[in-house]
Amino acid sequence: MRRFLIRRAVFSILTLWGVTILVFVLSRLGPDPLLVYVRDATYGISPETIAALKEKWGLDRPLVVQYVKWVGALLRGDLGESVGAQRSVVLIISEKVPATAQLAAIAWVIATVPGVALGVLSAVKRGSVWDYTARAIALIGQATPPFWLALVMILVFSVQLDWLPSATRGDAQDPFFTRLRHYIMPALVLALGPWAAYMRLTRSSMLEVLDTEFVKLARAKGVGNTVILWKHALRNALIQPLTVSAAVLASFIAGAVFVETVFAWPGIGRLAVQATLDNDFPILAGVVLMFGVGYLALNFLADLAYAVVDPRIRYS
Amino acid sequence: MAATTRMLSLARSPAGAFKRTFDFFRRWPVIPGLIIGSLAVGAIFAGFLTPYDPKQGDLTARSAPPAWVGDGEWAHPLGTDRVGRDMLSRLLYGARVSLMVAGVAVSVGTITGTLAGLLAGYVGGMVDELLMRLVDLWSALPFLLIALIVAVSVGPSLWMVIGLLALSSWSAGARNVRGEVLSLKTRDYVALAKVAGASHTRIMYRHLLPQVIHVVIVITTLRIGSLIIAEAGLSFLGVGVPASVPTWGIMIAEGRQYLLTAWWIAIFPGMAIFATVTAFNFLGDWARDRLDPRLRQLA
Repeated sequence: MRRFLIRRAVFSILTLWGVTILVFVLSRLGPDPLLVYVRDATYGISPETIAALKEKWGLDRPLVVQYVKWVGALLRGDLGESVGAQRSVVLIISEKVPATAQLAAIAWVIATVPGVALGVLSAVKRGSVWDYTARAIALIGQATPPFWLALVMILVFSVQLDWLPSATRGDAQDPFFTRLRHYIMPALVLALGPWAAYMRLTRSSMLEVLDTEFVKLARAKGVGNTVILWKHALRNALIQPLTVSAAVLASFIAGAVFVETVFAWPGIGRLAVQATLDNDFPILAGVVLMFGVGYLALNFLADLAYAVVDPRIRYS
Repeated sequence: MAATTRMLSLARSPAGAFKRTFDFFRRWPVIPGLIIGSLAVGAIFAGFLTPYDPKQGDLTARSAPPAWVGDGEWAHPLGTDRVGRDMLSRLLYGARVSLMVAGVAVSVGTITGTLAGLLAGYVGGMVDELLMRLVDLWSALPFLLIALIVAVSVGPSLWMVIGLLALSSWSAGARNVRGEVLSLKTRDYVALAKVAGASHTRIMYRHLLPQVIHVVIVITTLRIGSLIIAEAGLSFLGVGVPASVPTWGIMIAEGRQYLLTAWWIAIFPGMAIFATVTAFNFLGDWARDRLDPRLRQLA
């Protein structure tokens, strides 16, 4: 168990290092490195200003020096200063984290609890109306682009029915339930993809487990149906959904970018898109690294959960 | 005997005809095939099928609704957008971009992934360890954000999108192919081929590749749908294909501002994406059930 965790931790750190290299190399891939800081880098700027700007961001130095300086600053927790707002990137990002974290947490609950429950129901009542309905929704969830679904929901629930607000997080002074209404659509859209993945995976592994010898033995011994389902079968069936948690988390990150863009949600996803359109590399790099760290941390937690659920992992 | 008679009578009765048609549709992916086939034809022959230029608008026919809505006309069956460009024509040309991007990206990704998987599984040792750690690292990368960085440094272009999507799609194939090869290479026929003097390249190409090709086909088909959504997403954010190229994602982004007055601009491209992706997913499911039901865990 200990060795397993140490290995995973070392691997997470190496991955993070790989991400810094990749981010750096990709940012210097273009024809002019100044482009990642300034839009239209050659248009209407005097050569002296260009030289001064390059010096300011250290772009006149050799690439290796640039990289080492950048990573050195990262290690000290310094993500640099935003080009547009001229403020510390750490500050800007930390202001936006709560909005995204809240949204993601709610979406996470919406995705996992009903996803796993419906997966179980769908497997147990195979071929029933429940099964077909759940599978149809899962199919839609996997084939619908999230940004388009968000637009359709706005069209239906905000424009036509006028039930829910179409954008933003609401005012801080608003009463709790008014603000809660702002969360409904973004959280649902963000949750649909992961929900579908969890539901499908739980269903298929549950079907497999219910067919095994030990479940038959438990039935033969006269163990009650509830105990068989929730204790014998589900615990084994959960391994599969847990292993893909990594992929599900990745889809959360991508989903947040789209959902926040469409619903004008003041979070990190929208910040990243804005930084892209503004050519604001420090912010963009900060967001990518932050997502990278968060993702690896969550991945590590998934590994832990995996070891708890499946003793075979602990002892190998 | 009785069973045969029953079957014969079933075959002739109308109920039997219905059942046979139903079974045929269940057995073969007819509808997904039709959707993908007509899309492919529409994409390839878009220039012949439609009289309109997808980039040239008719300002006298701006925001015309679909033919069956209000004062819509059959001249523009699915209406026009804000600058009077025909929606149906743009959808067809958009299919061209979507299918091409997904097709090229998935091909490059599949070939690279298969080669990596073959090598890792067959050679083993350090090569295996290195390649598999690379696969692990790769599946841990947030690709959308990486795409944003490339969009800033290189700028939007078709080849950038294809390259990124290809990069994002090799790892799953590599892992599965490697798993298959690991068990295949211990078989007797591989040892016999070695005894007969076959080179390593020949063994991989002639003896192992044909045995794993079904895995490759299944993964590829299941992958296309998500690549189409990814391309549309990048275009939607304005960081993918240049805005002058008609693609489904860009059409949705343009229609977003006119959701209240002209819903069809954003809604139809989304429906096109949904239909295409669903068709590919069904095709993938079918291929998987047909070729290798063990891969069920993949989707």
